[in-house]
Amino acid sequence: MIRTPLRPLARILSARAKGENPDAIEQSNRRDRHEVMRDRSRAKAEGRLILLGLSFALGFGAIGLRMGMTAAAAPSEPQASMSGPTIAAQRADIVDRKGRILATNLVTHALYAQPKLMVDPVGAAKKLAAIFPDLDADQLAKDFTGARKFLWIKRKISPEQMQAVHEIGDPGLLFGPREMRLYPNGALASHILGGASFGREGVDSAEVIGTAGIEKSYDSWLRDPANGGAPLTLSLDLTVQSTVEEVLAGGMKLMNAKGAAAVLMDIHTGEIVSMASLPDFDPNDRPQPLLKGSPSDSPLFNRAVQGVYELGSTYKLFALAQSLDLGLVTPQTIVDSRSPMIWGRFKIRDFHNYGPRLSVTDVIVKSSNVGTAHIAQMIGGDRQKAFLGSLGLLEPTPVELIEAPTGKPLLPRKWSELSTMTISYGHGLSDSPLHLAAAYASIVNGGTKVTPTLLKTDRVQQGPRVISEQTSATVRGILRQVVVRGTASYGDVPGYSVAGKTGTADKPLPTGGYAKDKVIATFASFFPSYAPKYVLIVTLDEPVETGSTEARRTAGWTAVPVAAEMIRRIGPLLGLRPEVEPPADPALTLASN
Amino acid sequence: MRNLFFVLSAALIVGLAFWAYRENYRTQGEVAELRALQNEIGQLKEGLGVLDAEWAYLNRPDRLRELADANFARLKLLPLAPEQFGDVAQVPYPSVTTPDPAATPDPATDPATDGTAAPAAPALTAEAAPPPPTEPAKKTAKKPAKKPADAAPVDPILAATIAALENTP
Repeated sequence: MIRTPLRPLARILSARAKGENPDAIEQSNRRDRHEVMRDRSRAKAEGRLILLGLSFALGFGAIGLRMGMTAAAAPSEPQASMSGPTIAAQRADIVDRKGRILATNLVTHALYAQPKLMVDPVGAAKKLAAIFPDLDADQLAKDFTGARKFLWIKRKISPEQMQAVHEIGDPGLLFGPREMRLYPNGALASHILGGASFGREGVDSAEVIGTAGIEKSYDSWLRDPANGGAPLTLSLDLTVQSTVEEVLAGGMKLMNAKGAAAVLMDIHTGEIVSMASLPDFDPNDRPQPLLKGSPSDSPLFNRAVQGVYELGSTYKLFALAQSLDLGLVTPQTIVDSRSPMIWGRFKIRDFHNYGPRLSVTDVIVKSSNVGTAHIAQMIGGDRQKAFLGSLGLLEPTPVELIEAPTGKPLLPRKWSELSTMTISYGHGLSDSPLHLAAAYASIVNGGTKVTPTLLKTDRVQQGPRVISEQTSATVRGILRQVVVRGTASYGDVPGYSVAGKTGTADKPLPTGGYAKDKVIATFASFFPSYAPKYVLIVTLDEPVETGSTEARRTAGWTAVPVAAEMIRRIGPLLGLRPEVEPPADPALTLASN
Repeated sequence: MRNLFFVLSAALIVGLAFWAYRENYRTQGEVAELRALQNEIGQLKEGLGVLDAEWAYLNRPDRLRELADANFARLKLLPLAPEQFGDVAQVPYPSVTTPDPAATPDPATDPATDGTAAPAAPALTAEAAPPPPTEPAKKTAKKPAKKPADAAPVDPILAATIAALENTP
C-alpha cells in the first residue's frame, strides 16, 4: 500500500513560496488519512456484526428446526449402543430346584376382526365356526354385519388354526402376536403355580399377569426386566412332586377319600420339596371358581395351605415336647389314663381303653387322649398357647403363595382349661398340613423354628429355639416307637427308619358337633429317625378302608400305608440311601440316665 | 507460505469431511447390522423357548410314566426302589476268593514274598472282611468276630441288592 506522506515536499515548498502555512497541508492530509482508516474499520465492524448475526441465526435456526422435527416426527425406539445381556421375555420362567421348566412362555397369536374391511362377512363367519367348533356362526355373522368396527374372536390360537384362518383369506381377519403362559407338566404342582391370564390387551401385545399361586405372589418379580430373564427357582423337585402326586392319587382312590394333601419339607432349610393337594386342575386351562357352595369343594382349593383342619392326635407331640422340655415329665413318668375322663359335663374318651396307667412314652405310642389331657393340665393353657404360637401354629403360614393368608388357623374363642385339654390331642384348634409340617420340622430338627419356603435356598435356617436339642432327640426316639410298636406300624419302610405320629380327627359338622363316620386321617412323619432330614405330612379327607369286613377309618389304616409307600418311592429320588439304623435308641438310654 | 497454509487447511477439511461422511455411513451400516442381529437373536431365543417348552412337555413325568408302562414288555422299567439304591462298598467283589487262612501263608507275615506284592494282598483281604463303611459303628465292632472272611451279606437290603444284581442279565 502506498502511503501518502503527510508533508509532501513539493506542496510544502510551493506553499512556503506562496507564504502559506505548510502545517495546514499536513493537517488536511492527516484528516484524509483518518477518514480512510475510519471507513475501513467501520466496514470491518459491519462485517463482523453480520457474521455474528448470521451465526446466531444459524444456531437458533438449527435448534428451532430440530425442535420442530422432534415434535413432528413419530417416536422411535431408542437404539442402545450396546446389546443387552439378553432380550428378555415378557415374563420370567419358573423352574424347579434342578432347573427343569415348570412354567414358560410360548409365542402365539390372537385373532381379531375388523368387519369394515371384510369382503364376505357371512361366509367368513361360517368358515370360522368350522375351524373353531365353540364359536357360533350366526352370532359371528351378526357381529360382522353389524355396526362394530372391531372384535376379538380368539385370545389364543394354535399355528394350525392360524393357517386355517389364513386360508379363509378374508382381509378383515387379522392376527396380533401374543405371549402365552405354558405349564408343560399339566396338572403337576398346579396349586403352587396357580395360573396366568391376560391383563391389558392391545392389538400388538397383551400383558400376562398371574392369577393365583406363586405366579400372583411373585407377579412383579416375574415381570421385572431388571432380572434379565433369570428364572424363578422353586424349592420343588419335579420328579419327587410327580411321585408324591401319583402315590397320593393312588392312595386317595384306594382309601375312598374325597380329598388328599401331602407336604414334604426339608427340616433344616424349610424348603418345600413337594406339596400336593388333590383333586387338582390344569393351570393351562384354569377352571372358574365356584360361585356357590363351599370353596373347599373346588379343585382350585389348596388343601395343604388353605385347608385348616383339626388334625387330631398328631398334636400330642406338642404336649409331649413341651412337658419334656419344661421338665414336668420324663418318658418313664406314669400318668393316669383311665377312660373316660370326666371334666365338668364333658367326657374325654380313648379309641380303646388302654388301662388305668401308662408311661408318657406309651401315651404317645398308643395315642391316649386321656393321658395327653393329663399332661396338658400339668402344662397349663398359657404356656401351651405360647408354645404353639412359637411353632407358628396360631397364625397363617408365611409361605410365598397368594393364598397363604387365607389358611388362617381357627382358634377357640376362649382358651379355657377344657380347650387346653382338647387342643393337646388335636381338637379345638385347626391348622393346615403345612403348619403341621413346619411345626414337626421345628421340633425334630434339634429344636429351632423352621419357616416354610417355596424358594430354593442352601442356607440352613437359624430360627429361634423352641425346645432343647436334648428334648428333640428324646421326642425323635419316642416317635420312632410309634412306628415300631404303636399306631403307625404300617409306616415302617425298611432302610429309612420312619418315625411319626398318626392322627384321626372326626370332622366337625357345619351344624355343630362332630360327624360319626367322617374323619380327617393324618400321618405326620419324618425320616430317617436317627438323623432326620425330611418331614412328610399326608392327610386324607374322609378316607375309609374297605379291604376287610369292617370299615376302618383310623390313620393307621389309611394315611400311614399311603405315606409309607410314598417314602419308599421318594427316598431314592431324594438321594437317601437305605441304611441300617443304629440298634439301640440313644435318646431313650440317655433320658433314663 | 500463507497460501500453502490455506491450501493445506482446505485439503484437511475436505479430507476430514470425507472421513466423517464415511464414518457416518459405516456407523449406520453397523447399526443396521446390529439391529438385524438382535432381531435374529430374538427369533432364535424365541425358537429356543419353543424347543425348551416342547422338551419339557415331551419329558413331563406323566408322559414318561405312560410310555414306560406301554413299553413294559420290552424295557421292563419299574419305579426306582430302595433295594436298587446301594453303595459300591456294599457289593462284595466276586474276584476276591479268600483262601483258607490255615492253608495259605499270610503274605504280610511271610518274609519270602516279594516286597512290591506284599502291601496289595492284605489290602484286598481286608477289604472283604469288614462290613461297608456306611454301616453304623456298633455293627462294625461285632461283625468280624462271628463272620467268616468271605463276607456273606447279612442285612436284608444288601441281600436284596445282590439278588437284584445277580438277576440282571
